[in-house]
Amino acid sequence: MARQGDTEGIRAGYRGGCGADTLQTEDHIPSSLPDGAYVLQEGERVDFPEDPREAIPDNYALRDTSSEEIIEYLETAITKFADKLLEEDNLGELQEVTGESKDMLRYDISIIRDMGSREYLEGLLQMGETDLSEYIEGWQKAQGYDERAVPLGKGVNVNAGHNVAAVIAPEIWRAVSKNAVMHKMPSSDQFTLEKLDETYRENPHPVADTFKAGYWPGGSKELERNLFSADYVMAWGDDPTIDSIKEKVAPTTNFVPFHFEFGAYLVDAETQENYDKELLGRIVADFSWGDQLLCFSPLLMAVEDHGDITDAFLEDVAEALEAYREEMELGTVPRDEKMKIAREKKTAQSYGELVSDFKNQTTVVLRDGFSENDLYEFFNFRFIDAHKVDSLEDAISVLGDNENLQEFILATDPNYGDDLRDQLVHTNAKRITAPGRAPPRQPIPWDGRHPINQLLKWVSDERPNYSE
Amino acid sequence: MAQDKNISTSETLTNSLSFQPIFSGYDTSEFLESVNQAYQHWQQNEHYQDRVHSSSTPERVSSLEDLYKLPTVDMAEFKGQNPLAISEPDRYVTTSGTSSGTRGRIPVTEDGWVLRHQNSQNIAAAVLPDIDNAAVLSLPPELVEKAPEPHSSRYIFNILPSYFEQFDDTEYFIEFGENGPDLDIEGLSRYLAKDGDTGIAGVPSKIYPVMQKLKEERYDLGEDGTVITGGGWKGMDGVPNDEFRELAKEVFNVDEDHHTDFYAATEFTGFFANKVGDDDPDLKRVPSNMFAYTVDEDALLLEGEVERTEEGEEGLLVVIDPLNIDAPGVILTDDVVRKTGGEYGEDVRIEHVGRGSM
Repeated sequence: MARQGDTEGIRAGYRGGCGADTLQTEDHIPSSLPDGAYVLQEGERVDFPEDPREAIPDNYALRDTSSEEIIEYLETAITKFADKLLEEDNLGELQEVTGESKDMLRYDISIIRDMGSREYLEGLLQMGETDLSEYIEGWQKAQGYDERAVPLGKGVNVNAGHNVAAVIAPEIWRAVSKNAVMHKMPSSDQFTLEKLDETYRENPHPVADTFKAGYWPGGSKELERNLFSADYVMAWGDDPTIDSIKEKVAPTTNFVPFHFEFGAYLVDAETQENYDKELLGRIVADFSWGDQLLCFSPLLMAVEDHGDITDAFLEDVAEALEAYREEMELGTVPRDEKMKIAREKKTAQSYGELVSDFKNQTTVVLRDGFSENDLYEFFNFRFIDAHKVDSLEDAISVLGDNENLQEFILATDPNYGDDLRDQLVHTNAKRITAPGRAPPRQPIPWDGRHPINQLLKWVSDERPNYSE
Repeated sequence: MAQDKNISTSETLTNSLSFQPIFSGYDTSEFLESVNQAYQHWQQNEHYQDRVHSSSTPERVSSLEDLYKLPTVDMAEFKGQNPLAISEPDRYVTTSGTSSGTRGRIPVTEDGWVLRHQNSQNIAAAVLPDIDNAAVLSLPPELVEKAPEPHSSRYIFNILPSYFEQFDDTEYFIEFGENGPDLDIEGLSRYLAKDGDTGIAGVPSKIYPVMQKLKEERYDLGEDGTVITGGGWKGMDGVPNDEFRELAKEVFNVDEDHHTDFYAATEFTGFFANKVGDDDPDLKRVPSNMFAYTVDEDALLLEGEVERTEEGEEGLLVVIDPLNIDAPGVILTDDVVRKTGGEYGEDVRIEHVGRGSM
């Protein structure tokens, strides 16, 4: 018979995951603050307050600022920020902290400029035909009720730190969605966000007032439990990092994680027969971008086995990849990584799989077949790990279920690509793109989600419309 | 992958087992003959055969100098699909410490497993004193195959029992709870208070926190009480070996010369270790059925060449392991070591310096 037992038991059975009366967030005021933790205040490094959450600004000023004003401000501020980074001294400093070459940094900064364009910023607010700014600015009619999108409030963004452009994306999202933020600066790069802080101070505005940057050593449990009880936490990193952060996020806090992800090239026979220098240029640019250390970096290539034609294609790719270093200088390659690559090249050579010259600074290997074993270890720093397959569908069946798959880059006949995309939507891929487009220049969904929507709460007003 | 065997596995097994590991009376000609048999056996793998034919390698191994000419295999080649396998595997040697269970396992045949088990047991018997009890910080053998994957806790070594079966009483103090591996610290504490000579075994990064937890107590593991470490010193950054040993003396009353450290790899059938009583536990002996040398890192990095270093110079470790019947046992590791004491014999010592790559 239903509704047996005590009140609590009955409630649990009916309310299931609602738990409004059971979910609680504690204050978690830390007993002490870790050495080296600070917040940037007027350009100076100061201690966190006793309740560190108080260092996170609120978003009240942004709530009253229109989307149009925010976009107009960001257009100017991001341009000024990009210009600042390009100053020779700053570029040199960035080279030190990121390990990227100046060529690579200039390219990243060009991506930042694109992100600061009106077209891009307005594009972030589009979800298909829906203009999110309409919902952010006011109530809209839905199916028998009104609804509105409201920013989550104030939160923390834990940056990954491998790329200056990657730091800007979450900043733009939170501003466009009218949220306030405390950015955790990566330990390896406390320079980029200092420069953004400087830019904002030079250009006061509610966007600037709702921005804060700080730093604390990784693993500062007490501090993080406190800060991660804010309205939202965005986090970037590999799986163990994300898991570690997730453990400390309060049950009532919105958690928006971005994991390690990778891309894979699919190359059909048609392309291997009919390619030109321009296509080779686009392919090697993708594999060189960020030295393959970024979330959208392609790490693998599946090529339809076309016999000698495949061999010749990969030889040309190897030559182009090495030559591209003139245009886009390699960043710093740690010795451990050099050794890992050297050993892999030597092993590949033993199996007749090394396509590029051993002494090249870049690498192309071509292996027979493709299995899940090939997804356990990846190589970076301009290493094309190519696999011959009987059909691209075989490669998709290997790659498709991998949780860290970000995108497929299709070097295929366009019609074949159209056929493939209907298969690819059902894999773990979140992007389908073309050679030269691994770095996203458009305001695309990120990790399969519209980022602005992730930072909004939707409120429905279901009262009868008395005026109708 | 699998080849028809010219030499049957059981014959190789018999030949191999007749060459027992010892730490004195090293017989160079007997060792070279063992390598020679293994070398012919390894060439049943087509990939290794290709390597032999494409380089200036000898047809037969007749001198120590010939050992340096044997083509190496990279330890990374053993994982995953293992194209170097000589026969179809029957089971796996399991180690934890990887993010994927499959990658942390080396496929072996049943005969290969038996060889590893017996070789490990013989070496352990040669380095350890005659202790009565062994407290092992690992899963019990019957639970290893049931441990959830992936696991990275370094409590999972299914070869481990081979080191300790010889003792009267061995107990394991790890089990898998809801939240992952659990150490039965109370049970361990009671066990360590037993009469007789007791050894405590585990990876250093697990023994160290145990010693810190038990610091308030004082144990006496007996005159031949021993701390047995293995699996590497990863996770011990900032804790010098001396500090570890001082703590062992404080908590367990175990002197430094009763600390033995096993230097093994899942790819090897045996391991290097210092004997209890040796002056310096950081200098490992090489058993008579294995050979070690070092190669220059820079030559490998820049030219892809495997070039021997001089004695005493740091270099990447290469191990020649003729008891490996499952894959070519000329293994280029990723450990940087220093070799001293000659080429082969009871004076040879290997000192681990660091990790090369991977």
